[in-house]
Amino acid sequence: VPLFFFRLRDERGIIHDVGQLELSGLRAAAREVSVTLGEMAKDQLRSSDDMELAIEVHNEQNELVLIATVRFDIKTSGTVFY
Amino acid sequence: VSFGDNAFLRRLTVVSDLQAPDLETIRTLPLSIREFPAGSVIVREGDRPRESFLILEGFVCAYKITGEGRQQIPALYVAGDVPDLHSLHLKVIDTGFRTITPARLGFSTHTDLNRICERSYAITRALWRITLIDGAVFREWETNIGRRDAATRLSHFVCEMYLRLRAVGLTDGLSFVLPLTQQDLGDAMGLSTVHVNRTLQTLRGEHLLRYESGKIEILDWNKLKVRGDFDPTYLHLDPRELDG
Repeated sequence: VPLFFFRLRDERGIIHDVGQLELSGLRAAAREVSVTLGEMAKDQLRSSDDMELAIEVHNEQNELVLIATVRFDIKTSGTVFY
Repeated sequence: VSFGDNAFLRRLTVVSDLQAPDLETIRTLPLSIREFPAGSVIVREGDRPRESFLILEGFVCAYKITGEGRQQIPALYVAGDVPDLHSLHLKVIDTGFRTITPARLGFSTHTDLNRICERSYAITRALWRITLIDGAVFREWETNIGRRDAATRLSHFVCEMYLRLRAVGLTDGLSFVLPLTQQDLGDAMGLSTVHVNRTLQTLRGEHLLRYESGKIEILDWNKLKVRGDFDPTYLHLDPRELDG
């Protein structure tokens, strides 16, 4: 079973190692990333109107095999009080 | 083997006003002791059990599997808990139970449990109260998972487990064994494994707790309670057991 290494790039651009998982393949790694980014985005948006998070996935040879980014921001027209 | 003195009996004395004769009735209740390795299914969803089990040692969880095969752990049980006590009156079990660690369980037949309840209204009331507290814990978990962010959710969970384990003598200062895999923890908290890892890092970075090799060390109890939005009222513990 392949081992995947997950790294989070937070809103300040800082990279955090966030663990390693044995998964059936890249599709499973992508699923883990999608769920994680969705959960993190939901949490961040409780206290902020914009956010950008990315997760990189590396294989056992330390090759980047997947990167996913989620970005959210709100733009208002200049005439709207916000 | 009889029921004897155990953590469940201590729980009963905290949450009820059972007198000596009733406590003796429970103490002499016959129990069938069985050992289970980690990961064993004890009861399956849809089973119609004729006995309920008391945890003497080890960790047990309830589990539900969604239609797409994803697991949720809606409750975690420790020594002194009777996870399927409700099966005494609900004939079909609506959730599965499995061991998380090797576990020593004591099984009591529903016939025996019904017999002692029929003989004593105080025992009936005490057992009812235990299942009501289980319901209170379910409500708190639902609130936790549904409305709190990951760091608050995990902090709340750690606070709860600390107090529950301390009440049955399974803590060492502010440390305790929590032998869940990060997958189990994610399934209990409704979080992905990677998100659990990141959240544990965050709480460690805030000097609130450390989690290593299945052991939790609380670094600042008062701050962790605040971080976890934690009010222990729902646990209905002995008030003397509520301070860190």
